[in-house]
Amino acid sequence: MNFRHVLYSAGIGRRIAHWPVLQQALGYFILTDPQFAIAEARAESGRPVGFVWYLGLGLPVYVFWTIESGLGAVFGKMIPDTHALGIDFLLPIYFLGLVLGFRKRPLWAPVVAASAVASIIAYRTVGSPWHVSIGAIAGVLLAVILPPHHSGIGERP
Amino acid sequence: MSTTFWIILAGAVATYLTRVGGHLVISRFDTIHPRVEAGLNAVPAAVLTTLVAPELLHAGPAEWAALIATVLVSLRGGLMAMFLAGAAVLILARQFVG
Repeated sequence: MNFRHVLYSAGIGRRIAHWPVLQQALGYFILTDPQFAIAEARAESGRPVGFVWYLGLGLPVYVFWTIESGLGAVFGKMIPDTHALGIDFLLPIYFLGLVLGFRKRPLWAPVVAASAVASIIAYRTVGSPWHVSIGAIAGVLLAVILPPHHSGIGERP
Repeated sequence: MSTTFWIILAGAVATYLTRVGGHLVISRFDTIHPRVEAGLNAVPAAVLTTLVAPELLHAGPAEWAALIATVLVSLRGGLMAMFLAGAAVLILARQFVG
Protein backbone atom coordinates (compact mmCIF):
# COMPACT_ATOMS: atom_id res chain seq x y z
CA MET A 1 0.00 0.00 0.00
CA ASN A 2 2.72 2.46 0.97
CA PHE A 3 4.77 1.68 -2.12
CA ARG A 4 2.74 4.35 -3.89
CA HIS A 5 4.66 6.93 -1.87
CA VAL A 6 7.90 5.77 -3.52
CA LEU A 7 6.35 6.66 -6.87
CA TYR A 8 5.05 9.99 -5.52
CA SER A 9 8.53 10.73 -4.21
CA ALA A 10 10.15 9.90 -7.55
CA GLY A 11 7.60 12.01 -9.40
CA ILE A 12 7.69 15.11 -7.19
CA GLY A 13 11.49 15.20 -6.86
CA ARG A 14 11.83 17.04 -10.18
CA ARG A 15 9.51 19.78 -8.95
CA ILE A 16 11.32 20.56 -5.69
CA ALA A 17 14.93 19.72 -6.58
CA HIS A 18 15.85 23.43 -6.41
CA TRP A 19 15.01 23.69 -2.68
CA PRO A 20 17.69 23.54 0.05
CA VAL A 21 18.15 19.98 1.35
CA LEU A 22 16.50 20.56 4.75
CA GLN A 23 13.43 22.05 3.06
CA GLN A 24 13.27 19.04 0.77
CA ALA A 25 13.57 16.70 3.77
CA LEU A 26 10.56 18.40 5.36
CA GLY A 27 8.73 18.42 2.05
CA TYR A 28 8.95 14.63 1.73
CA PHE A 29 7.72 14.27 5.32
CA ILE A 30 4.33 15.75 4.38
CA LEU A 31 4.09 14.09 0.95
CA THR A 32 0.52 12.73 1.14
CA ASP A 33 -1.85 11.78 -1.69
CA PRO A 34 -3.48 15.22 -2.01
CA GLN A 35 -0.12 16.96 -1.50
CA PHE A 36 1.36 15.04 -4.41
CA ALA A 37 -1.66 15.47 -6.66
CA ILE A 38 -2.06 19.20 -6.09
CA ALA A 39 1.67 19.95 -6.35
CA GLU A 40 1.86 17.93 -9.59
CA ALA A 41 -1.14 19.79 -10.99
CA ARG A 42 0.51 23.11 -10.13
CA ALA A 43 3.79 22.11 -11.79
CA GLU A 44 1.85 20.93 -14.84
CA SER A 45 0.20 24.33 -15.17
CA GLY A 46 3.66 25.91 -15.42
CA ARG A 47 3.64 27.65 -12.03
CA PRO A 48 6.56 27.18 -9.63
CA VAL A 49 6.23 24.75 -6.69
CA GLY A 50 7.84 26.88 -3.98
CA PHE A 51 8.60 25.87 -0.41
CA VAL A 52 6.21 28.39 1.15
CA TRP A 53 3.38 27.44 -1.21
CA TYR A 54 4.03 23.75 -0.49
CA LEU A 55 3.92 24.30 3.28
CA GLY A 56 0.78 26.40 2.93
CA LEU A 57 -0.87 23.36 1.40
CA GLY A 58 0.78 20.66 3.48
CA LEU A 59 0.79 21.99 7.05
CA PRO A 60 -3.00 22.47 7.31
CA VAL A 61 -3.43 19.00 5.80
CA TYR A 62 -1.03 17.54 8.39
CA VAL A 63 -2.56 19.36 11.36
CA PHE A 64 -6.21 18.77 10.48
CA TRP A 65 -5.62 15.18 9.30
CA THR A 66 -4.24 14.44 12.78
CA ILE A 67 -6.93 16.35 14.68
CA GLU A 68 -9.76 14.90 12.59
CA SER A 69 -8.40 11.36 12.94
CA GLY A 70 -8.52 11.88 16.70
CA LEU A 71 -12.05 13.26 16.54
CA GLY A 72 -13.16 10.35 14.37
CA ALA A 73 -11.62 7.81 16.73
CA VAL A 74 -13.29 9.36 19.78
CA PHE A 75 -16.69 10.32 18.38
CA GLY A 76 -17.03 8.04 15.32
CA LYS A 77 -19.10 5.50 17.23
CA MET A 78 -21.78 8.13 17.80
CA ILE A 79 -22.71 8.12 14.09
CA PRO A 80 -25.78 5.84 13.99
CA ASP A 81 -25.65 4.77 10.33
CA THR A 82 -22.36 5.34 8.52
CA HIS A 83 -23.67 3.58 5.41
CA ALA A 84 -26.55 6.06 4.97
CA LEU A 85 -24.06 8.92 5.13
CA GLY A 86 -21.90 7.24 2.49
CA ILE A 87 -18.79 7.42 4.67
CA ASP A 88 -17.41 4.13 3.35
CA PHE A 89 -17.45 5.43 -0.23
CA LEU A 90 -16.32 9.06 0.18
CA LEU A 91 -12.65 8.22 -0.31
CA PRO A 92 -13.12 6.58 -3.75
CA ILE A 93 -15.12 9.66 -4.84
CA TYR A 94 -12.33 11.94 -3.65
CA PHE A 95 -9.64 9.90 -5.39
CA LEU A 96 -11.70 9.80 -8.58
CA GLY A 97 -11.77 13.61 -8.39
CA LEU A 98 -7.97 13.66 -8.12
CA VAL A 99 -7.63 11.27 -11.10
CA LEU A 100 -9.95 13.42 -13.21
CA GLY A 101 -7.87 16.50 -12.40
CA PHE A 102 -5.09 15.07 -14.58
CA ARG A 103 -7.28 14.23 -17.59
CA LYS A 104 -5.61 16.82 -19.86
CA ARG A 105 -2.20 15.19 -19.44
CA PRO A 106 -0.94 13.28 -22.52
CA LEU A 107 -1.62 9.52 -22.36
CA TRP A 108 -3.99 10.01 -19.40
CA ALA A 109 -6.79 7.75 -20.66
CA PRO A 110 -4.59 4.77 -21.64
CA VAL A 111 -2.71 4.98 -18.32
CA VAL A 112 -5.97 5.12 -16.35
CA ALA A 113 -7.32 2.16 -18.34
CA ALA A 114 -4.17 0.07 -17.81
CA SER A 115 -4.04 0.83 -14.09
CA ALA A 116 -7.76 0.20 -13.64
CA VAL A 117 -7.71 -3.18 -15.39
CA ALA A 118 -4.48 -4.30 -13.70
CA SER A 119 -5.60 -3.20 -10.22
CA ILE A 120 -8.98 -4.92 -10.57
CA ILE A 121 -7.36 -8.16 -11.76
CA ALA A 122 -4.78 -7.95 -8.95
CA TYR A 123 -7.53 -7.24 -6.41
CA ARG A 124 -9.41 -10.37 -7.52
CA THR A 125 -6.34 -12.62 -7.70
CA VAL A 126 -3.44 -11.50 -5.50
CA GLY A 127 -5.68 -9.50 -3.18
CA SER A 128 -5.55 -6.22 -1.30
CA PRO A 129 -3.35 -4.23 -0.72
CA TRP A 130 -1.15 -5.47 -3.58
CA HIS A 131 -3.59 -4.16 -6.20
CA VAL A 132 -2.26 -0.63 -5.56
CA SER A 133 1.37 -1.39 -6.41
CA ILE A 134 0.54 -3.78 -9.25
CA GLY A 135 -1.98 -1.43 -10.86
CA ALA A 136 0.34 1.56 -10.48
CA ILE A 137 3.27 -0.28 -12.05
CA ALA A 138 1.07 -1.35 -14.98
CA GLY A 139 0.13 2.27 -15.73
CA VAL A 140 3.69 3.55 -15.39
CA LEU A 141 5.06 0.68 -17.52
CA LEU A 142 2.60 1.51 -20.31
CA ALA A 143 3.99 5.07 -20.44
CA VAL A 144 7.56 3.75 -20.37
CA ILE A 145 6.98 1.22 -23.14
CA LEU A 146 5.14 3.53 -25.55
CA PRO A 147 7.33 5.96 -27.54
CA PRO A 148 7.92 9.02 -25.29
CA HIS A 149 6.23 11.44 -27.72
CA HIS A 150 2.93 9.84 -26.70
CA SER A 151 3.60 11.29 -23.23
CA GLY A 152 4.29 14.71 -24.71
CA ILE A 153 8.07 14.37 -24.38
CA GLY A 154 10.34 15.36 -27.25
CA GLU A 155 9.33 15.80 -30.85
CA ARG A 156 7.26 13.41 -32.90
CA PRO A 157 9.72 11.48 -35.11
CA MET B 1 8.59 2.93 26.53
CA SER B 2 5.66 0.74 25.56
CA THR B 3 5.65 -1.63 22.60
CA THR B 4 2.99 0.52 20.95
CA PHE B 5 5.31 3.51 21.03
CA TRP B 6 8.06 1.64 19.22
CA ILE B 7 5.61 0.25 16.65
CA ILE B 8 4.38 3.78 15.92
CA LEU B 9 7.95 5.07 15.67
CA ALA B 10 8.99 2.23 13.33
CA GLY B 11 5.91 2.90 11.21
CA ALA B 12 6.82 6.57 10.99
CA VAL B 13 10.40 5.79 9.93
CA ALA B 14 9.23 3.24 7.33
CA THR B 15 6.69 5.70 5.95
CA TYR B 16 9.27 8.45 5.70
CA LEU B 17 11.64 6.11 3.86
CA THR B 18 8.96 5.40 1.24
CA ARG B 19 8.26 9.12 0.86
CA VAL B 20 11.89 10.03 0.29
CA GLY B 21 13.03 6.75 -1.34
CA GLY B 22 11.82 7.37 -4.88
CA HIS B 23 13.57 10.73 -4.96
CA LEU B 24 16.82 9.26 -3.59
CA VAL B 25 16.86 6.69 -6.39
CA ILE B 26 15.98 9.14 -9.19
CA SER B 27 18.40 11.83 -7.96
CA ARG B 28 21.37 9.47 -8.33
CA PHE B 29 21.14 9.93 -12.08
CA ASP B 30 22.44 13.09 -13.72
CA THR B 31 20.02 12.94 -16.61
CA ILE B 32 16.55 11.47 -16.76
CA HIS B 33 15.91 9.24 -19.76
CA PRO B 34 12.83 10.35 -21.77
CA ARG B 35 11.13 7.03 -21.04
CA VAL B 36 11.71 7.43 -17.31
CA GLU B 37 10.30 10.95 -17.55
CA ALA B 38 7.28 9.53 -19.40
CA GLY B 39 6.86 7.00 -16.60
CA LEU B 40 7.08 9.70 -13.92
CA ASN B 41 4.50 11.77 -15.76
CA ALA B 42 2.15 8.79 -15.61
CA VAL B 43 2.48 8.38 -11.83
CA PRO B 44 -0.52 10.51 -10.74
CA ALA B 45 -3.02 8.77 -13.03
CA ALA B 46 -1.46 5.33 -12.54
CA VAL B 47 -1.42 5.39 -8.72
CA LEU B 48 -4.62 7.29 -7.96
CA THR B 49 -6.65 5.09 -10.35
CA THR B 50 -5.80 1.98 -8.31
CA LEU B 51 -7.44 3.58 -5.25
CA VAL B 52 -10.75 3.86 -7.15
CA ALA B 53 -11.01 1.03 -9.70
CA PRO B 54 -11.41 -2.04 -7.41
CA GLU B 55 -14.29 -0.25 -5.66
CA LEU B 56 -16.26 -0.69 -8.89
CA LEU B 57 -16.42 -4.43 -8.14
CA HIS B 58 -18.81 -3.93 -5.24
CA ALA B 59 -20.44 -0.72 -6.46
CA GLY B 60 -24.26 -0.73 -6.63
CA PRO B 61 -26.58 1.77 -8.35
CA ALA B 62 -26.01 4.44 -5.67
CA GLU B 63 -22.23 4.21 -5.98
CA TRP B 64 -22.33 4.28 -9.78
CA ALA B 65 -24.63 7.30 -9.72
CA ALA B 66 -22.19 9.10 -7.41
CA LEU B 67 -19.19 8.33 -9.61
CA ILE B 68 -21.02 9.42 -12.76
CA ALA B 69 -22.02 12.67 -11.05
CA THR B 70 -18.38 13.22 -10.08
CA VAL B 71 -17.26 12.76 -13.70
CA LEU B 72 -19.96 15.10 -15.03
CA VAL B 73 -19.10 17.86 -12.57
CA SER B 74 -15.39 17.45 -13.38
CA LEU B 75 -16.10 18.77 -16.89
CA ARG B 76 -16.69 22.21 -15.40
CA GLY B 77 -16.00 22.27 -11.67
CA GLY B 78 -12.96 21.91 -9.45
CA LEU B 79 -12.03 19.18 -6.97
CA MET B 80 -14.27 20.43 -4.15
CA ALA B 81 -17.32 20.72 -6.44
CA MET B 82 -16.69 17.20 -7.78
CA PHE B 83 -16.39 15.72 -4.31
CA LEU B 84 -19.46 17.46 -2.91
CA ALA B 85 -21.58 16.54 -5.94
CA GLY B 86 -20.50 12.89 -5.75
CA ALA B 87 -21.12 12.74 -1.99
CA ALA B 88 -24.52 14.41 -2.29
CA VAL B 89 -25.68 12.01 -5.02
CA LEU B 90 -24.36 9.04 -3.03
CA ILE B 91 -26.14 9.97 0.19
CA LEU B 92 -29.36 10.80 -1.64
CA ALA B 93 -29.32 7.61 -3.73
CA ARG B 94 -28.61 5.43 -0.70
CA GLN B 95 -31.81 6.65 0.93
CA PHE B 96 -33.68 4.90 -1.88
CA VAL B 97 -31.61 1.94 -3.02
CA GLY B 98 -29.55 1.29 0.13
